[in-house]
Amino acid sequence: FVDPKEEMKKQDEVIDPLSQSADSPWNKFFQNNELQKEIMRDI
Amino acid sequence: MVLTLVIGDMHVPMRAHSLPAKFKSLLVPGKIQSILCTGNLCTKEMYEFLRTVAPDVHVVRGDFDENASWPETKVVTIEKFRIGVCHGHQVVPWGDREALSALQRQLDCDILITGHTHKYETFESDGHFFINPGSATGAYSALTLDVVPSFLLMDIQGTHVSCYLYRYVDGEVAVTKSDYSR
Repeated sequence: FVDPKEEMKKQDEVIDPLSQSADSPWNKFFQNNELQKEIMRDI
Repeated sequence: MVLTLVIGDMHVPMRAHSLPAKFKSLLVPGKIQSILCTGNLCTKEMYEFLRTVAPDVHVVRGDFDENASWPETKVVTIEKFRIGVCHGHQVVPWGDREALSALQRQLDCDILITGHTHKYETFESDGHFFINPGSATGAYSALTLDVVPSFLLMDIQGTHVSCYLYRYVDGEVAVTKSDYSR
């Protein structure tokens, strides 16, 4: 599970939430959210 | 956690032809939950573009908007915050901090969002937060000489807001962050 804010504190720089890069913690966070929603639907 | 986009003063097609391409590529569906728009979109197409980005769009009427159904001011509650939105041409002197403070008291909100000056600004006054997202297209303004295209993204979590300011400078998008807690 990824928390973009914790990552930001660790790296001590601004990570933009709309970033397109694949390794952005925000993108991982959005992907996880999608996955969670799908799991909830399946349950 | 709610991601809220604060955007306004596009003036399409009167003063600018569209958003910078780099902004368009950032504003994709599925990330942002709601949009607070300070008005002066000027066309229905711009409004429809915002609707594609997020389903929940709140718009107030600017002095160049023809849609009379949009209100002059609006108060939206997101998480624990009351957020007031107003275009800002009604607040004289334009962009004046004391005049904005008076409007904030009138609307009884924690965060006040205004536009019109085409100059991005975030500041705290008397424990309240004031936001101006600037112009998303960098449209001409009589008040500001060189307008930088900009918009804001608020990450609201309980009683805490992180503001990400996106500016389009020299063909690149620059992001800066500021925080506010109630």
